[in-house]
Amino acid sequence: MKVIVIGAGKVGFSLAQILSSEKHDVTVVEIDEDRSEVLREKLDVKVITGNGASFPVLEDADVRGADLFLAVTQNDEFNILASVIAKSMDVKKTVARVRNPDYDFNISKKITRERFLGIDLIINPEKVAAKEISKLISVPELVNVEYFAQGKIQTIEFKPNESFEYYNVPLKDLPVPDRCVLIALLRDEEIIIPSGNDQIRRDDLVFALSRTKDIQELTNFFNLKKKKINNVTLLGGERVSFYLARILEKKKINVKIIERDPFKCEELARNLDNVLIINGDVSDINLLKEEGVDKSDFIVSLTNDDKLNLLVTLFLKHLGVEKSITQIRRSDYLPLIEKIGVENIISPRSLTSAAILNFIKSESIISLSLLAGDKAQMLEVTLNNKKCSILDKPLKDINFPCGVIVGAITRDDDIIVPRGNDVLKYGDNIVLFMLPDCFEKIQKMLG
Amino acid sequence: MNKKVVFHIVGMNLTIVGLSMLIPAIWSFYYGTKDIYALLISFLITSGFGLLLFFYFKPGRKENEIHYKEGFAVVTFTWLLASLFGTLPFILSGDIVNIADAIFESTSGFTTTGSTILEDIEALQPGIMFWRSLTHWLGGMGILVLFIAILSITGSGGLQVYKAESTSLIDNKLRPKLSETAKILWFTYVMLTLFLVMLLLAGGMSFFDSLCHAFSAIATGGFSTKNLSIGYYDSSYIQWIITIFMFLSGINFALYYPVYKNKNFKSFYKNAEFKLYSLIVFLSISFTFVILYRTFPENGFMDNILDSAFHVISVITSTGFATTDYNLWPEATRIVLFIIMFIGASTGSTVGSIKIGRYLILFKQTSQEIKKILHPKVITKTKIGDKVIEDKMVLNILQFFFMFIFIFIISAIIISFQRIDFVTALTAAGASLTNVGPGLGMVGPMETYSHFNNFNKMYLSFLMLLGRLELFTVLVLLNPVFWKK
Repeated sequence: MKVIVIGAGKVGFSLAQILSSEKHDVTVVEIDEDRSEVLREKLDVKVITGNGASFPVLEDADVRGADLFLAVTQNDEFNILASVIAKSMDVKKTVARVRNPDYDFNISKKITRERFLGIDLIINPEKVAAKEISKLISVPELVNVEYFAQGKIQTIEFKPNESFEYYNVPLKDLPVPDRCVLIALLRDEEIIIPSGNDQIRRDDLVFALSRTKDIQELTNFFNLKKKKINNVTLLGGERVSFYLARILEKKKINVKIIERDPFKCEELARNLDNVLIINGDVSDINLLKEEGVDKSDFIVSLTNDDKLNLLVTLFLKHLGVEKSITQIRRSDYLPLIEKIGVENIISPRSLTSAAILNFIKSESIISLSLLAGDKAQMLEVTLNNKKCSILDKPLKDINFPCGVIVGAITRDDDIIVPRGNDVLKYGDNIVLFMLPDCFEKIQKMLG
Repeated sequence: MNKKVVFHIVGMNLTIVGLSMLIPAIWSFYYGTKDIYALLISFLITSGFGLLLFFYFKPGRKENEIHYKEGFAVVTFTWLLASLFGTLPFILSGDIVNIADAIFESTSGFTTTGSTILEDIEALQPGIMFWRSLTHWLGGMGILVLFIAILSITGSGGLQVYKAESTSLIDNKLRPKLSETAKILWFTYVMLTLFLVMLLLAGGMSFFDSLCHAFSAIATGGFSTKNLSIGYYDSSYIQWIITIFMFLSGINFALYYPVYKNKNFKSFYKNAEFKLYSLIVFLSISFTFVILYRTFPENGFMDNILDSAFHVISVITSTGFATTDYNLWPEATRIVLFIIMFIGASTGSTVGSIKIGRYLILFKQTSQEIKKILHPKVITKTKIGDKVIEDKMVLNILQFFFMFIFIFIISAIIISFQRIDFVTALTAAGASLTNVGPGLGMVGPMETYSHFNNFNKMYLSFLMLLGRLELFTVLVLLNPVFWKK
């Protein structure tokens, strides 16, 4: 696939990286000379230095007839303009990153019922991040949750409770509830596809899958107690906070936002109804205590400064806040972070990449989500190729590449959590768990 | 101030007032009464004077702009001159002899107050009686257009409430052009009047009386053609119909058009002011009903409901109709009536008083202030719907509120020099300033204002005008700075 990426910021960089690693033909257009140089050194992509909304530059980048055009610079208007131009140059699909709520794509769709200026996907990383965070807040007992098959199947990601009785017990002896699958463990930044002899250790992150209606049994088994979240404090009043507060406000959760810039506070106060907006420094410990932030059920650190986010989260955890989410933009921090006890990280950048990857996946793939950063993937596909070699064979006889697990099968509204003797049939929807490097092989197997 | 353009417009308005005197003349002709001469002469004088102003003060090409100052002056002088020339039919026909009385009656009409100095209304000649009710209707109509056109610049808050409400809830004013918006409001006004006329006719009221009462009810005035007001018609049908239409007239007129246009009632149930209005009306009626039912169980359940609903709505919409003498009601219900007099109904309608919208904003602001005490560093905005109410506007409303109460108290003291009792002085001042009309005590619903001396009659007329034009429109004219070049 021929892909053009405009803008080599954090998002552009990571998209180019992922796409080129998936063997796509990637061209990056970046206006800044130094940044272009960095890209040339680090990635196996073609880099053109120039204005990505200019015809000659795009001609130069060979945009004509490209399959995918991603405009992901910092500037909304620029992205929109570049996408429109690309569309006029016969690009098959265009994606623009647009963050200003004033250009809200969904609203424009409601009003005009047409695609906004012909752009195929408008992605708002902040909004995506806010949705993701709100989902996590709704399941405080888990680290993450993903839904498949129209919500009938879910995979959950969690740390077993201290009182969990089966630490260090081989999995084959574990009385896991029927129809639930433990698909993977994350230990020391490594994904482990467990076999019967593996054990769950303290501080392991467990990935499990089950039908949504059976999830209660699973969480009970691991002693995960459902806790109602009533008070959420958002530290920092950037756009993610705004979108998140708007979602939480509708769920009748008490939201408090602390932001240093009085103008941003004003702006938030104008656009939010039942949210308490406090003007102050998030690193002002007295203020945090005065405002009872340490008594919040959930805190989300969303300032523009990764270091500040980490610091504040750590500090509030120290004061006794149990649940937290921290926004980290720089990926090089990530390995360090879990070590220092900050467990829930959100990165608008990787969410954006995930959303764009989801968008460009082939038609038989229904959804694709990334687990534990991008260490593993969940893939939901329809088996619509009759000649596919894996059909009508017991699962145990199929030679899947290592690291692939068939988590669930949806057949005529039935949800099957399969065992070795179950077979796949034409027309099934299946949910696959796999490591990223298996993607190519799986695509071949499925045809 | 550009005097030419002001008096040019005032002259035009006065001409229209003069022309409208021909309508009651038709009734005089129909009944063959002598007041037709008074009406025709009044028409000639009023329209003649109006045309004189109109042509004498013809502004040049470059002078025809209207700014704040001109707006205030146009409004105040229009009401002032209409009230003055509106006395002509009363005086010339001989139905009202005293000039102060005539001014009181005419001002009470044009300001849609509805208080009267006439001891025997039924003795009026039909043309005069019709003119009296028509002044209400003209005044109400004037307020509607004034409301959107000129009050917007006084900053006294009423219009901002309307604007705030309508921009967020109705599509951005009703129409982009002011004159188009005015037409829609007038159309609504006329349609409501017509509906009421038809329903009253169906209830057996005569055409003449139906028209007069419809004028009075929709303009939230209060003049009746009968000494006993609506009580004359011993018909619960008529009373209920009038109750409902008084309530409807207390709603922002801009809410009706979207119902017609979008075929749903979204504009109503999304409007915070309408909801608060309905709530206050409901609570006041319920409270009044409970007390009335315990005091007068012999009147029965339905009649007590009707009495409570009719009078609560009559007072809160500043209409002032009555079917019974609520002077005789228990103290608690009279207090309710006295208090709701200072609440009023929605902005953007023909009602007087402080109006619900202002209370709505002040309540919301209060809750924000409490939040600020609890969280000293909080930043908040008072909002109605999605619309942010700026601090400047809140200040305007507080200012208005203060002046309203201040003028009310001072006025009560001023008129009490005439040795009248406490309740009468308070409610006469209040009922005039809020344009309700009847008060309690010696100005109760079955009494008149005829026992006041001439000074008080003139002063109360001034109060009506002040209240009708939302204080500041008139008060700026009293400031010498206004007249400096």
